[in-house]
Amino acid sequence: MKKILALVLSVAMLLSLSVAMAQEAGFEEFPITLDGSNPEAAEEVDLEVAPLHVAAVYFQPVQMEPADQAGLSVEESNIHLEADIHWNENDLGFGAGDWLAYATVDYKIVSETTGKVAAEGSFMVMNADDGAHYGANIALPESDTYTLTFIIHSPAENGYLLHVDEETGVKGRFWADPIEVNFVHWEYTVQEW
Amino acid sequence: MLKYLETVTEDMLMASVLICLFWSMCRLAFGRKGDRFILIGMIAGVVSSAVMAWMKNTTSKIATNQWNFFIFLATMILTILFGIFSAIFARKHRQLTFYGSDTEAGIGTGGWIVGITGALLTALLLFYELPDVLAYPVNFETAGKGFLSMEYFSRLAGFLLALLLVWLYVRFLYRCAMALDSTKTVLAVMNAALLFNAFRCFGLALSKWTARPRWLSWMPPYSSSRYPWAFPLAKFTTNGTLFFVLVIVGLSLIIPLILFLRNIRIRGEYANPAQHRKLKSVSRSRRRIALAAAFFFTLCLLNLTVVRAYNNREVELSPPETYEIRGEEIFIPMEQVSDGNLHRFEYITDNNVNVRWIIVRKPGAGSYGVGLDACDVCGTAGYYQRGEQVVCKRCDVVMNINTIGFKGGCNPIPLNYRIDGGSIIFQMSDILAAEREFK
Repeated sequence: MKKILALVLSVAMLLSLSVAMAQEAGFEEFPITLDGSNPEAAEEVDLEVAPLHVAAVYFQPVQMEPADQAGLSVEESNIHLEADIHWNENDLGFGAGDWLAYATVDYKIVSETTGKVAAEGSFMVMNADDGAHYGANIALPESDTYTLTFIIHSPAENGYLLHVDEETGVKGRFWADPIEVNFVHWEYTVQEW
Repeated sequence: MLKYLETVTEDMLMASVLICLFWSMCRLAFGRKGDRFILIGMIAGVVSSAVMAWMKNTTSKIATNQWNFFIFLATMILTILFGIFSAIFARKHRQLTFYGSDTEAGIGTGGWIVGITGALLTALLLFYELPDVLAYPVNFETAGKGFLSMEYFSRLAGFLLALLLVWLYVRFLYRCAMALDSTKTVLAVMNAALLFNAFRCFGLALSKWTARPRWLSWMPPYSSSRYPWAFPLAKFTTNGTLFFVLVIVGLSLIIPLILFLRNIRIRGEYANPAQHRKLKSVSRSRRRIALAAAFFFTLCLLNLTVVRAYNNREVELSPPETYEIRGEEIFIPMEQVSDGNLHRFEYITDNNVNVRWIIVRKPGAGSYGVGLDACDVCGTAGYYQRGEQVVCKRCDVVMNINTIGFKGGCNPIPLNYRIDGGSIIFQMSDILAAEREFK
């Protein structure tokens, strides 16, 4: 009997010790590819929507401040979804690689199984330690194959102006209709963070 | 209260029933020695769960996803081993009646292997389920009202009631197994339940792999074309927690059912009326135990189905109220909206878009919270009133009424208005500009 006791309590101690001695967990981003393929095998993970470079990632829900303007709390959500949108070479005066600022970015997640909208809304603008992005904590409690759509409104809709004179102006103009980017066959399973 | 009643029941019921089946099997096979195996497994599980709960809630060292992947794998392997060992052991000793044997020499090497595997499996089942359950009471959402509030105590009541309900069911299930005194039956039920549990653990482990995390880069990379079966299985198991709970707990009901059927009529010989009365009494007592188990099973079942459906029912938005349009302005008398309740209004535009907005008088102030019945995060789901709270219909977030009218997060999108002559006045142009939000 003492042997059993020693053995199983050893297991408990080992489990407890391994928990207690765990290293900082950090976090991991999960890329969402355009066609549901493996990010490592995909030829192009991100979409080049001239003049933009668009990527979608998700990871664990995060705390944000101010909390009363941050939408869903960590407990109420399943993922933190991000739209990383940067400028490509363009004739609007932005540097290639600059973050797309002053835009409204909507998202819509539609089940490919039922056709129902699982989540939709507008992203909030925020900064993480790797810079600015559009994102939100989202409740997505059902595992399913989804189509994720980003609807990127022009900064002009938010009153962003362009110089147009001969001396200082830019040649290009913002897009008139919102740009829609679809990430299809997103095989999503609910994760425990 | 209802949320924790059904959540804790779902969290704890399956693990508790499986552990109860292990315990019954070990008790029937090894006598009191069997109790010790499972008790030690439970202590190991509770201790390590408490450490895990503390670490999860006080540090950022726990990557739950990674831990759970290995817990699922280990549980799956131990589940299969325990099932195989138990079957072999029972087959080898099927001519013996073990119950009551409590000698040192009674269990042999095979018994030790079964007992230790059962203890480890018990510890692992608790190690997966308990950390979150242990942490619930310190993480109850009380809308900032703290521990000494009705919100906290109602959630605590739901939490404790669920634990009591689960305990009562497994308690009567155990008594049924003891009264049935059939290692073979308990073993058959346990192995059927273990089979489903192993399948579930496999699917849950797959759900981590199909997400393609970097920490699983040592495994073959997931590809839907190469492994077309993997994602559907992962989807089924992650969405089907209730299915597995109901199947495993439903299987356990076979034990009370058999006990009841066997005791409808008196079994055994009797020589005189006194012995007859005794046999009748034993049968009646066993039927009552079986019925009690069935009763608490039914309560658990209702909790996971009816209570859940009620708790997650779709909230109907209150009907829109009337107002007056004068020229290009909308007038709403202040006395119509000054009772502290949520008031909803709508205007259908020429494009047949239904623009909705809400007004609520702020508590302890003469000002009003005014905004569209939509927010940036949850779209046009709308808001409803729950008691004195204003709640987002989609995300169930309770709004701070004092910040309604301010921009950001799940707050209603602000809508311009002015107060004049006892009315709240909106410009039609502002209402039409909000059309975009409701398209």
